Amino acid sequence: MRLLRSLAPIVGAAAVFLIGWRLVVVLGDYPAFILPPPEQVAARLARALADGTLVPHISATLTAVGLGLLVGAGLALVAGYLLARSGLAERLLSPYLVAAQATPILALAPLIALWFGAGLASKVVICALIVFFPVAVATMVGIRSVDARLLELGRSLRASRWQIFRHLELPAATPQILGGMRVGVTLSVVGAIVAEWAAPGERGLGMLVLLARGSLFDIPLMFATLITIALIGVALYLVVVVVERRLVGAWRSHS
Amino acid sequence: MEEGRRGLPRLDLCASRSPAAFALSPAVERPEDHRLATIRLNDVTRSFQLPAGRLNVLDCVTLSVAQREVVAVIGPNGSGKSTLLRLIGGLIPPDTGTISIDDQPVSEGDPRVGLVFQEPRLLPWRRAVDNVAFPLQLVGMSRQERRLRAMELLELVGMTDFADAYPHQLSGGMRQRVAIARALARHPSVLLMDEPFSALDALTRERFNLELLSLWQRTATTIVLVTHSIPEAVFLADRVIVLSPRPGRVVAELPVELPRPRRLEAVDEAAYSSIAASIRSYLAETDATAA
Repeated sequence: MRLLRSLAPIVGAAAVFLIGWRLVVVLGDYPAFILPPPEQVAARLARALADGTLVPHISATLTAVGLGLLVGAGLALVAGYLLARSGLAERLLSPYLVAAQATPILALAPLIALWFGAGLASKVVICALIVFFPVAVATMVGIRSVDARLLELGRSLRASRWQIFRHLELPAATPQILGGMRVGVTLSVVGAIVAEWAAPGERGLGMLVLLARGSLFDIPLMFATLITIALIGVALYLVVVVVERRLVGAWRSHS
Repeated sequence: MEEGRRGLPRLDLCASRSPAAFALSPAVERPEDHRLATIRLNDVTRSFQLPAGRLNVLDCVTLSVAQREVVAVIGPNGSGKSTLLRLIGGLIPPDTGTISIDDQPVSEGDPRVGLVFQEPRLLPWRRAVDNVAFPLQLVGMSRQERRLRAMELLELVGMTDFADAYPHQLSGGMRQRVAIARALARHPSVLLMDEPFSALDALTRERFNLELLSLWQRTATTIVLVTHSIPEAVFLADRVIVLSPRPGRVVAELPVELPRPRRLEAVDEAAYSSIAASIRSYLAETDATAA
């Protein structure tokens, strides 16, 4: 019952979206190659899943996203910690970080494709690059905002540097780090798609979008692919939300 | 070991500033004083570097606290009371002078010391029991063992029923109980408390004072407690140390020779009042010299 009630608004909003979409198609009298109606896209999505068109592309993109997240967020945690705890690291690194972030990933992607080739490597690098910044900044802010009084407590208990990190700094910064991860996981999907366009390989949802619009000219398939991409983003975001609820839901008062 | 830092003949510097020079200190010659003193501070001076210049916080503090004694440190704001506790706890080193417990100099994170801060300082992501077990976890005690010990300690402070609660689910007083249990986790011989009950309402505070005394009777600890409250100091302590305004110096050491166990109802009796009155007059006097 409670599940039903919490799901009701989500289902309702989705219904409104689909009806609106359908209305635009009907009222504007658009042909399927401009804006296919939702039921046609749904049918095409089901068929693409059933006949195995979609799955290899999904797995290729997910591989890039997963590895990119692992590398990008992993490095970002280390860098964020260094930025927070070492004034020298901050002075040396932060100009480059900000400059790298200010350069659009779209502009960097061809260069990275040139350096790392058309394979998985360039996709992981691009994905990692785009994930890095939000997670690093969130980690830095999180570590910096750890209550100094808790750190004093740690020293009074003769905690080692590692123990202070493991038992005080990391848990205290977890809410902020996960906030950065929320942004990071959605961007990782963007990174993977951009990478597939900049370094075209054989597989990937970004490739499929290009194929569907180009040589296949199957616009419903293109829409089905776009929806798949969006759903992957939503799913990753939800994973972070669930992790967040498990890790910090109980101890953070919501008052 | 600290003398070399500045090469000052510190004994000479400090001699003129001992309490006797103020002619304020009553004769504190009790037989207990000749026992082995657990805590000893010898001519301890400490200053802090601020942007505006050097701030002398404590000046030539000499002090000893006997085993199992309860000493209350009282003084105006900024008289270095908290600094004094941090020095004894080894959290900061003195500029000059020596601090020892049982003739061994204190070190940072000294295992002989349990600290209770003004705020509970619990880890918000840990349940009460895991907060109490935290100091034990840091020394590598097994999960089962430390949980057992933590439950014992929670029982000692009357918090067994709230072992699984997170700090945000507890009241301020309950959190401070957990903090006290945590401070006792490693069986410290010295318990240092920095205005531990200042955030509590007056009634809760009285009850906590009583409970602290019963806790003290059940654990083998020497207690140094910083407080702002004269009644609290008199009720809890064997001896009250009055500090002057910054830089803090010991201006009086007043023995509280009242029978134990102490009862709350006795607080209004004449013996308490007269000690409280003399503490007040010392505090007023330090105020006058400062002004």
